[in-house]
Amino acid sequence: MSGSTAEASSRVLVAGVYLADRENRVAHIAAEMARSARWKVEQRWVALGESPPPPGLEALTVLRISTPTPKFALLNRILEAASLAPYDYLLVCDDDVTLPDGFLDRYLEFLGEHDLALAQPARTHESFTDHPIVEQLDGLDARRTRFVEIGPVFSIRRDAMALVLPFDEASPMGWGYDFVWPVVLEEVGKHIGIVDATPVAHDLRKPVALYDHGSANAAMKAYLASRPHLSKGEAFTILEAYAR
Amino acid sequence: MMKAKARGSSSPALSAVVCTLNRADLIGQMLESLCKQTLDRDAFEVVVVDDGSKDPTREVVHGFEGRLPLRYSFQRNAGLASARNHGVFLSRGRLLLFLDDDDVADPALLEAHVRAHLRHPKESMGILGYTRLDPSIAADPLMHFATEVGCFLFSYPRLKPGVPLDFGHFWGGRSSCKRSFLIDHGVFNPVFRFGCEDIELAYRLSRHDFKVVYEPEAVLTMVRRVDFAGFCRRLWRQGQSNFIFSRLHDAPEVQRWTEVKEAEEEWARFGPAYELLLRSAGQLDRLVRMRAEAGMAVPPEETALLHRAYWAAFRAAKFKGIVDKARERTGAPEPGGPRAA
Repeated sequence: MSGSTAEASSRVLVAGVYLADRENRVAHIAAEMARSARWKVEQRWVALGESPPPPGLEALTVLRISTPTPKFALLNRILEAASLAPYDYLLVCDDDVTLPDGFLDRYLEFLGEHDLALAQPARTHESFTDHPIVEQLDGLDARRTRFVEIGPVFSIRRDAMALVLPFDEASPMGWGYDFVWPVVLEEVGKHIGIVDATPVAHDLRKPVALYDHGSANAAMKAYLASRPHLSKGEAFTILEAYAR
Repeated sequence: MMKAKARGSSSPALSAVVCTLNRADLIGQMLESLCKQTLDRDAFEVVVVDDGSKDPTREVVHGFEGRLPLRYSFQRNAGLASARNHGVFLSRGRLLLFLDDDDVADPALLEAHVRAHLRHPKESMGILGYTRLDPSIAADPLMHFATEVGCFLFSYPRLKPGVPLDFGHFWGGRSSCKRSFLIDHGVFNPVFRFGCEDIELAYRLSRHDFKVVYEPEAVLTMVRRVDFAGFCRRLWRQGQSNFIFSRLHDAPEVQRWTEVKEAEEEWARFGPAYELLLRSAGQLDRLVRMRAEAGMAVPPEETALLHRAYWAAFRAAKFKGIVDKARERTGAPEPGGPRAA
């Protein structure tokens, strides 16, 4: 694990899975996260594939696995091993994003300012985007929404961890979580949202390019069938917008 | 399937989305007209997105709280497409009606849109309403030309009600569509700050069979007169957006709509006389106005001359916008913005 050099009492855990045999940006992501001046950042990454971790990632790679395994099942494995109690935030990151300079400090500042227990940074306009609501809205800092996507980056505040974790492996690729999470969090009065001021570029790989769309979709349908969830129309809604 | 009920968010039939910027003097008229709708108050909401106004817009809008099912949201100035997207996601209505801040709604406007969608329930159908000129500006020579002759603002004279129209008829500020269709297939492209944001979206949606039907009973009234210089600026900006649109989509129908391919050739024709064209059209515009204000009749040949002058000036301003944007992209020297006499 690595931490920032600055003294900080608040702790963040960054967890993610990278595809070791494919082009990825995990080195950039890990370095950018570690630059935080305000937070003590620890990172736990899973390498999926045969190739060795890239330079600098050896110590942060807590699990190496070559058998194809769903992302959220892997995340559950490394999060089980880590006690989450000391962390103020958990950030879950994919390996194919570019983060803006100073991402973590600015992003977490907006979460604090707007009381967002579950959140994600918006995607840049050039990013691959499945749901238009997650694309950056120019002119805003952040929005309280009824939708936070399962990737490529999202955060869970300490008080929401027990509501969201462990990830439900009934939908091992995570499809459908984002329509259930708002119900679970709203039930206890917690806010979720999107931070537009720190957009991430998700432009390296097309989503769903590397796994079976059909089986993930079937898993989602089965998952949603037995859980209270929002429709797309309900979920893709801004409840409040923030612009300084 | 179990479905969570959205807490505290009953869904109205229609959300009227009004994006505004520094129009504190006008938006009150729009909101006042929305207070007088025949559609049941519970069946609609009004979403005002303030695109960074520096004037008292916020105070004017807040003055309508309690009189309208109203939501106001502010963003730093980011352009019309971003503001409309902001409005799309703030909205809770099954239908979205995009309105301009300088129009006034007929009392039956919202009801007419809802009824038209009931007649055209397919998700991919949008509705285009009618916009007339307020009597105070209807006789204005430029506004008359722009709407009835040259059709630079609207081109209603050639539209037939009930006939499905293509993407070029999803005119912003007077059209409605199903929210779910946008949610599923795409929203406005924020690259457009003014002009083309509506048509470009409709073009993308047309790949999912999006069509527009003209509903003349859904009436808005335009109350703001655009002067000659303002109209030239508007067309110059439109030309810039046309260029961007043409670069986003290479399809022949987009190239035809944007007129970018012929712009260089047209500009070669208009360009050398550009200043003169604008100056002479501006002078004719002033002359005709002076006659009208003095109660003097305008001879038909003078009207015909004015229309030719308007036509040439406005076409030239649009082509200049296209060419300026193209040169900006290629790093060539930019001739600057439009100037009108």
